[in-house]
Amino acid sequence: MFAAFSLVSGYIIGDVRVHDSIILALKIILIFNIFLGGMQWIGTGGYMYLLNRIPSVRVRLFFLLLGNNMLRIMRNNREIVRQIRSRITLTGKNRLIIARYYFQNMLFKELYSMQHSHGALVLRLGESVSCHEYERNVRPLDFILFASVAGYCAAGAMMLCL
Amino acid sequence: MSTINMIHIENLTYEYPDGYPALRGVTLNVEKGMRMALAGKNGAGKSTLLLHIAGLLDGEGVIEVAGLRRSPKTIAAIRNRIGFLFSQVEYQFIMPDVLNDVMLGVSKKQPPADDASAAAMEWLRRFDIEKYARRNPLDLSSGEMKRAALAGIMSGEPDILLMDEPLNNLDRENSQVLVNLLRDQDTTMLFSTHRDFLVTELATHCAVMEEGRITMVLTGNEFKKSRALRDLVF
Repeated sequence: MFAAFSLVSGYIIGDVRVHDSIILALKIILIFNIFLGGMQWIGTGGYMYLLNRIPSVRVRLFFLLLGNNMLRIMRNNREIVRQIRSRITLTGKNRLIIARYYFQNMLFKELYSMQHSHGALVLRLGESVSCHEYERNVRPLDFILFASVAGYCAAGAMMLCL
Repeated sequence: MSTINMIHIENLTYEYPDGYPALRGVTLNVEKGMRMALAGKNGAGKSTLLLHIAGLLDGEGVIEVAGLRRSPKTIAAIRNRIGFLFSQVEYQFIMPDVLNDVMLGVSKKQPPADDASAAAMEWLRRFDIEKYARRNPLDLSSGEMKRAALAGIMSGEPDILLMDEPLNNLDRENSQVLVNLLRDQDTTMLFSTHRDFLVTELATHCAVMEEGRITMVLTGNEFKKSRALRDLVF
C-alpha cells in the first residue's frame, strides 16, 4: 500500500520511480515478516520478556503498538478480502477493481482504527507500561519457523541488493 | 439530602469539520451512583456527547467531571477518572494478551508487578474470562472480547464508566451476561444505546436525545411504564 502511495505521489510530482517503490514494498514486507516471525518464534512470553527489558516507556509502547497494528492489519486484510470476494467475481479485469477497493478499504479501516486507538491510549495508559512475563518455552518447531523466516529475510535482502 | 454531580454539562455545542451540528446546547447532570442511558436515533449525538465527556472531542460549553472543570490543565486528571468502552472494542486493546491488557488498568494504581498480575487475574475471574488470560483479545468472540475490554477498564476502578453501545454485536444471552456484570459494579455509568432491553434492565435513568439535544430525562421506572415513549425511542 505504501509503495502504491509512493507511485501515486511520484506521478503527481512528475517523477515516477517504479524501482524505488518496489524496493520500498519489499523492505516493508521484509520488516513485517521479521517482526511477525520473531514474535511467533519467541511467543508472547519471550515478547513480554524483551519488552520489559526496554528502559524507555515510549520505545516499549512503540513496539507494543507496532505488534498490535501488524496483527490488526492481518485481521483487516482477511476481512477485506472476504468482503470483496463476496461482491465481485474474480475474473479477468475484475482483478484490477479488487486492488482498487482493497487499498481504499484498508486505508479507511486504518484511519478509523487510528482514531479509536488514540482514544484508548489517552484514556487507558498510566505512567508506566510493565508486562507480565510468562515462562518461555521455545520448541524445535519454533526454531524451524525462525530459520525459515531468517532464510526468507536473507533471500529478500539479496533481492534488494540486485 | 445533597447530591454529588459526577458529570455536569451545560450548553455544550459541537459541529463536525464538515459543518454538521452534532450537539446543539446539551445540558445534563449525572449524579453519583446513577446508571444513565442515552437513548435516541442514529445521528442524535449520543456518541459525540460521550467523546466530549472523555475529552476526545472539544466543543463549546461547560463540562465538569467529578468536580473538575474541563480545561487543558485538568484533562489528564479527568481522563484518569473515566473508563470508556468503545462501540468497536477491538480497537481499544493495547496489549497482545488479555491478562496484560487488564494489567494496564491495575497498574494505574502502581502496585508491585506480582500484585498487579494477581489483581488482573482476579478481574478476569470476576468477568469469567480467566481461561483466556493468555489469548490475544482479537481472537476472542464478540461477547468474550466485550467482557475482556470491560475487565480492562474496570480494573482501573474508574469513578465514571462511559459506554458507547455496549451491547453492539451481542446476542441476547451475552447481553444478559454483560448486563449482570454491569449491575454488580457500583460505578456511575452513562451509556448510549438503541436497545430497550439495556434501559429496562440496567438504567436507573434515561435521557432521550434528539437532533443534538437532550429532550427529556426520566427515571428508569417512568421509562419502563411508558410503552408509548419506549416505542417512540426504540
